[in-house]
Amino acid sequence: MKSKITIYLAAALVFLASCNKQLNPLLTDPSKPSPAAADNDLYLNNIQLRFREFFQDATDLSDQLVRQEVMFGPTYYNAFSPTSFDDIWNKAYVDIFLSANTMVPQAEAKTQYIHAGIAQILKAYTMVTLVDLFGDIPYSEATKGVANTNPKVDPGKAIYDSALALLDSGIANMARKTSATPTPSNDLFYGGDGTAWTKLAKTLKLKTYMQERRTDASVASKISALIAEDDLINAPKYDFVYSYSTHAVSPDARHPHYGSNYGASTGTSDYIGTYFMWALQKDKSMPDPRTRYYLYRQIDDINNDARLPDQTTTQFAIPCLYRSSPYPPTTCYCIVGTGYLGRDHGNNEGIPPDGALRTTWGVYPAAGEFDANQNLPAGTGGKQVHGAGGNGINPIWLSSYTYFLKAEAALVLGAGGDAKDWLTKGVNASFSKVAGFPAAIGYTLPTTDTNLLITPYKQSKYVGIVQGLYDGASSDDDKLNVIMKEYYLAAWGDGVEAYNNYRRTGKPDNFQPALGGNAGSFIRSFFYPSVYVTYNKNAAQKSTVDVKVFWDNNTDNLK
Amino acid sequence: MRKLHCYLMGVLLLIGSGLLAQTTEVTGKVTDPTGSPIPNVSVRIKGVRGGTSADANGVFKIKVVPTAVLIISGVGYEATEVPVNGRTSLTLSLKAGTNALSEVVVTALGREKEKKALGYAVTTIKGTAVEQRPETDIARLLTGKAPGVNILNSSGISGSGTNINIRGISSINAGNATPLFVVDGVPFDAGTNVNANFQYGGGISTTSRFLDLDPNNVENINVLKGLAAAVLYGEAGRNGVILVTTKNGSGHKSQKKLEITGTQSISANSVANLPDYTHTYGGGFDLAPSAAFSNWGAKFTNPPLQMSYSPALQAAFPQYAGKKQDYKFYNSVHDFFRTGLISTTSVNVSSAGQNTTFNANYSYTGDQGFTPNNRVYKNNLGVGGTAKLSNHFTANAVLNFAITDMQTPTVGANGGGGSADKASVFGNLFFTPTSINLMGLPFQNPIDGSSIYYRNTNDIENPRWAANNNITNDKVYRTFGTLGLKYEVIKGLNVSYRFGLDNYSEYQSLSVNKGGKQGDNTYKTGTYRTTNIQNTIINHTLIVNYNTTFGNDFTLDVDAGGDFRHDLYNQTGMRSNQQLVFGLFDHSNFISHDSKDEGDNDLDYKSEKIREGVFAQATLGYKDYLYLQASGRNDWVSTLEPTHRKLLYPSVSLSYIPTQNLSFLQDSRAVNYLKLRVGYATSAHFPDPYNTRSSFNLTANAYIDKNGNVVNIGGIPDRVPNPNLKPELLREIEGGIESRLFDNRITLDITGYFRTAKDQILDRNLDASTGYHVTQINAGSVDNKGVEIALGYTVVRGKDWRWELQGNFTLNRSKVHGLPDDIKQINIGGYSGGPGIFVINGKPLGILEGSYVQVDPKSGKKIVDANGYYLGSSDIGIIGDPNAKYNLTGISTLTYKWVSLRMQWDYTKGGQIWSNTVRTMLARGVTKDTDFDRTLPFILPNTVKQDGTPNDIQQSVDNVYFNSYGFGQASTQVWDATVIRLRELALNFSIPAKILKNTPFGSASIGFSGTNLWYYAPNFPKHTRFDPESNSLGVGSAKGVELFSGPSSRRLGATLRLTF
Repeated sequence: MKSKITIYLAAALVFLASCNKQLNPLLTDPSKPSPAAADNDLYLNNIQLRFREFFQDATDLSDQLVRQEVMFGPTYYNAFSPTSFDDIWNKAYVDIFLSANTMVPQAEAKTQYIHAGIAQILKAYTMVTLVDLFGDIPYSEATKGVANTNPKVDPGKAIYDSALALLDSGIANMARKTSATPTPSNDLFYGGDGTAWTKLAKTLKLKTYMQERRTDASVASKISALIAEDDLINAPKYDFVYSYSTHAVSPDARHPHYGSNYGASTGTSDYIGTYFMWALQKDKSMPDPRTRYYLYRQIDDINNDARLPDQTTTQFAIPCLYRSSPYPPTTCYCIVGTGYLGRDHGNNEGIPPDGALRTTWGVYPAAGEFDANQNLPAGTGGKQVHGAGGNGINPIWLSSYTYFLKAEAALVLGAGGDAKDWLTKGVNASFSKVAGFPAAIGYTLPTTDTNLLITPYKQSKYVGIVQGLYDGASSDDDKLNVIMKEYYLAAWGDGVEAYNNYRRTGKPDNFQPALGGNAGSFIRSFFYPSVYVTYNKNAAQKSTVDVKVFWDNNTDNLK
Repeated sequence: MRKLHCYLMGVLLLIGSGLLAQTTEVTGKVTDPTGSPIPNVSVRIKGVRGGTSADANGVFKIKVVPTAVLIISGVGYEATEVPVNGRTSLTLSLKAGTNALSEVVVTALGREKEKKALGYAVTTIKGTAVEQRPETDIARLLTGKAPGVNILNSSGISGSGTNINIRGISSINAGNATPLFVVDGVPFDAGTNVNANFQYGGGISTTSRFLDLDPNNVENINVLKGLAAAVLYGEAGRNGVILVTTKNGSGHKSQKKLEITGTQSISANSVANLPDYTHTYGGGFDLAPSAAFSNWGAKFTNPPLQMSYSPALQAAFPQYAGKKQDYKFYNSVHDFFRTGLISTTSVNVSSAGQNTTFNANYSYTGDQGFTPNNRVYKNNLGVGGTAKLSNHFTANAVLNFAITDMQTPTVGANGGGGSADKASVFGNLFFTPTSINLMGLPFQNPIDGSSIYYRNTNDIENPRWAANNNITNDKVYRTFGTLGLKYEVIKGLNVSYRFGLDNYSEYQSLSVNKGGKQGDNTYKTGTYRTTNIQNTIINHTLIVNYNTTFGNDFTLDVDAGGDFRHDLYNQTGMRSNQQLVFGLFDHSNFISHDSKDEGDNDLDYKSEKIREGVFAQATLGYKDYLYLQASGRNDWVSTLEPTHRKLLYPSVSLSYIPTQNLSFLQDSRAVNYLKLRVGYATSAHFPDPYNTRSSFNLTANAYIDKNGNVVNIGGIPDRVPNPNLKPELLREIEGGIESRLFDNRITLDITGYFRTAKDQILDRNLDASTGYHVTQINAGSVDNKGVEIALGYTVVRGKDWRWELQGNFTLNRSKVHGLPDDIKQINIGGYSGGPGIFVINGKPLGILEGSYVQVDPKSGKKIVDANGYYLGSSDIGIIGDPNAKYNLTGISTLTYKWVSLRMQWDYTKGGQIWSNTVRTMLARGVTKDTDFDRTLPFILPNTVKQDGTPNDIQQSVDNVYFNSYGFGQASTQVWDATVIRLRELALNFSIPAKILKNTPFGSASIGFSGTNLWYYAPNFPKHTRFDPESNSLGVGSAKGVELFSGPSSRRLGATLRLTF
């Protein structure tokens, strides 16, 4: 009996011992590649794709404050919940910063200087923009993983300085490029062109210094130097844009504003700000010729259209039409002309069934439809317009912006050149960009009617009006207002610059105030993201939205 | 009791008559009342040391003096004293134990033990308590039946997932708190394979795998609650163990040679709760009628106002063009639902030979939900048998096969904001304006199949379209079974080996036709997602059992052994978008294909885990009244690095029965049985695989650039690997009293426990500024302490009448502590920006947080903003505790001759829930709760302005409800979930045997039963009639967030059961 038991026990032990060996291979996840699969081209494209998402998030948040799109409000305090900022925060730190930090040393070691430089430049833009949106943010203690689980904030100024240093590193890396330097397999911005990236880096330095010009006198000389060197984005071929494609799903590679307005059978989903449409259509003695490229009206005449069968429906679909304007007569309200239907700033009423009535994004920059009085709704399906198919751009930095900044620098800092000359160049650059855009994305305009298109005649007439306004302005402040208005109109699709400019200069100075008049203090920086406040012990949420970023010493009563 | 005693004495006297007075060797055979031998019973001589035990055939030999008295005792039978009276050959029949002393329960690893010897709590539920019910989910049938066991439905949708947890939740990590299911001794996967997170309906539209069990095939269920009870199962048993013995696996002997039982039930499944909708106002806003999503429109008039049909309807159906419809009350939501039919057919065949038993079982269940297109089909087939072989071997085998097929319209987590963000059949239903003729008008465009509803652009999807075109399916083919061999080495020493297999293929799909109006564009253009899951658990267990007696007073029972468990999970899947031909679901009918789900998670992955353990357990008994049990187990688990993967954990318990020991209690009429027990036990928790090693994150086809090039991207995974991860240790102390009092009229079992789980393995959320989102660490402790009480009272115990009351009480308090200072909080469910479920130091596990209304520190009143609406917070704070204060169940069973009436009431006190259904109904003014005069302006009561002065800002009532009460801060949308419920009512007629005498039937019964017949949740807005027993977060450790999970189900039916 004893021997039997011994045999059993021995068998059991052998059985267990043999099993234990097979545990180790199970520690590695069979569904994921090992870290050895990391490749700098994969990192680079990751950074670039997340960067365009970061920009899209940033512009979609800030363009509501400058009335390019609607802010529902009704108060500035409750216009955005902290969760609205989680995405942008995640993309900046987890995707862009961490990937760039990991990739740059690896790329430099492999003489992939263009890879490294691109990562540095995109990271610098991200840093500056995060400060612009939130103020002081974690940086020097950030992206250290579990080594620092509660990064503290750095002052915005310090982050700006780090970003400028990073831009210099990026410029230096681009300069290290030799014929042996491997080019990125698919640089989605400049096709691996180091010259263009260098111009971008220097332009971003100019932008960054200009942002600081009111709080740091030392930047004036640096601005002058950059302008004098003029290695900037000063021609459309160097425009820093992200180009989309018409690929609709898996992945959806279309312009996000195309997808949300032309991509669904349920109609459009964005509201254009009433003020922006008014500024294009009514602010000057002629309508802006870019309007039909910028915006597409789904309905030509709100007052006489079969799609609005009876009074009850109309009143429900466009309730503001049946109310009197709460604004002074000079301020826009409800509808511009007979078909420019958007939404007033701070209007948080329920959403009416107006998806087929709202004015929406046009062919520039979202690759939607050109407005040739089609009088048709936008969307998918039969009797709807589909536009260019979504292969639009994010105009992150255009040569026109450089000119407007130069104009501001010349006017305010005497940084070189003639402000009016730069202003003119800026407007012309914007017009060329917009007028040439349909052809650039391979879209045939639905009309050849020169009454609707940008023509050299209309362009010069418009430029003349702007120049007249500039000449007629009685003070530098008014002249700045003219420059900033044109910058604002040229920056359609880039709320980031428009929002920065407004906080820096307070221009344009005739924004439509929030509906209801009780919006409270303007947002000078956003609440911190929920993910930061919820998980970071060192995070203190702001209790108000009028906390200014470090470069903002402008008046308190922005509206 | 006295009667029984008399009867026993009678039997003994009969046995004892006519004996010869000689000294000799006595040969005996012990059988049960049916004549089958009882193996291994113990035979002792009264007053003399030593003894013997019977062999496998119940035969024993013993030398005695003629006047000796034999004491025959066997596990599960009443110990019987038999005077030899000079006989040489005895045939003894032992009665199955009915009193507390002889009660036998199945414990860990399927070992049958005398309950009196156990130092921990075990609750037994008989198969009769779960069979013949109009419910197919065995877990839901357990509700209230065992103290300490908490069950929470995710929805009333037939086949939706079910939460079970025992003695609270010990693990912070949002993973699974579901107890281990062991069926016929073999671990059984009870997981819920969610392939879309809760927002996409993963929690509700995915079945929990215990649905594959057939409640009609259950012989009994034993619930092992504490760690002491489950220690032999190792880490798998840390959440408690539900031991299911099926009729096939029981080895139970039928009364006759061949017995066939047939059962047929028919039930109706209907909605248990619908809101009381206002009959006064219709759809619109600001008292104007319109196609708004809200019900703040005009008052109904007689004759009614006339409204146009929607342009889309007029375009698709010319008969409506230019016509008008009445603006009046339509009972749309009520009429949307149907009464489903549940039918269960079950056949059981059992047979017994001299040394063999055989059982086979087949059942079919068809369960139609109350929601159109929701149904569950179940087919269960199983066979099992045991054979005792002459060469000391005993063999048993069970094989079960199940097909479970569940289908439902998708139930996603919908925000209630109108144009639905996440597809759900309920997302647009409950706030349907009362003036909308949902059921009277077409919902589908006859040309392109798209949804048509009452308004165009910024549409909402017609719920009827959603119910017909937006379908989730979950189909499982499952085989599980065991093969066991037992060998008796020498008397008292057995070696047994068991092989267990649980293998299933699960096929899940989401089929959405194009033409919908909710979800993102991928939904609207048509979506088809399929996943194939292959899950296998292979288990080998070897146990050596030795029991003996030594001295006069000691018994020893030792189990030792090892087990090996191999878990394999493999999933492949695909999601296709852009449907070509409407109505056809085949991946080739879609333009684009992806390997990720809607929430961007991989559909293809695999996971493998091996766990090895050795264990030993010994019970030392002294004089039938004192038992000391000690056990230990050592595990090696493949999910941790070699230096951390091993853990040894011991336990010890003591059981003392004073009624056997103290003389003054032995004849007490007041205290018939008393047992005191105390135990200390430990258990472990090992993490899921693949958390210790780094990998690379690769996304193929992330983007198509303007030139048509495919862009692939790579990056660092947002989860920081942790090579130092170690197992989590759980410790528990439990003590209890089991008693039978006052002539056995009252049974009272009380258990108290304190459990602490330290070095929690938890997913620690990281602020993205660290560069990562999450890492798994060991940190913090969770304490659970609680009381479980089961009180039974036999009120009437007459010849014809019997009335028993049973009360079960469960109370559990949890507390999280010891989280390191650098952790602010951890999100375990819901939305991380609120409303969500969080873990915070010093608070109960799973606190509800969300945005809240700012309060004026001086007056303590809520603050309003310049527009007169609540001023919200810019962060989140605690807004509720979803953990119930206690649960109470009362069961009454009244029997008169062959009629019995059973009733179960459940009461849950406390626990809070954030309800999207309720807030949306308030915000949109659809229920009678908002039936007041809506023309008067409204000032939010008890509020102050930001400067502290009383609020005097008038707003329209609909604006206040919309912006503040309904869609305002989450803190205003939390309600207390106290609820009382008539869970079950059953009337059963068992036809008396004498009536059946000349029929082929052995027994016959007919029963009528209903579940969830009535409930009342007093703290919810009255007319919303909300049922708090729902959880949109699916199956896991988080509860307290409800996002249109749907109403609960009421079931009424009849069952006929016949035995041949």
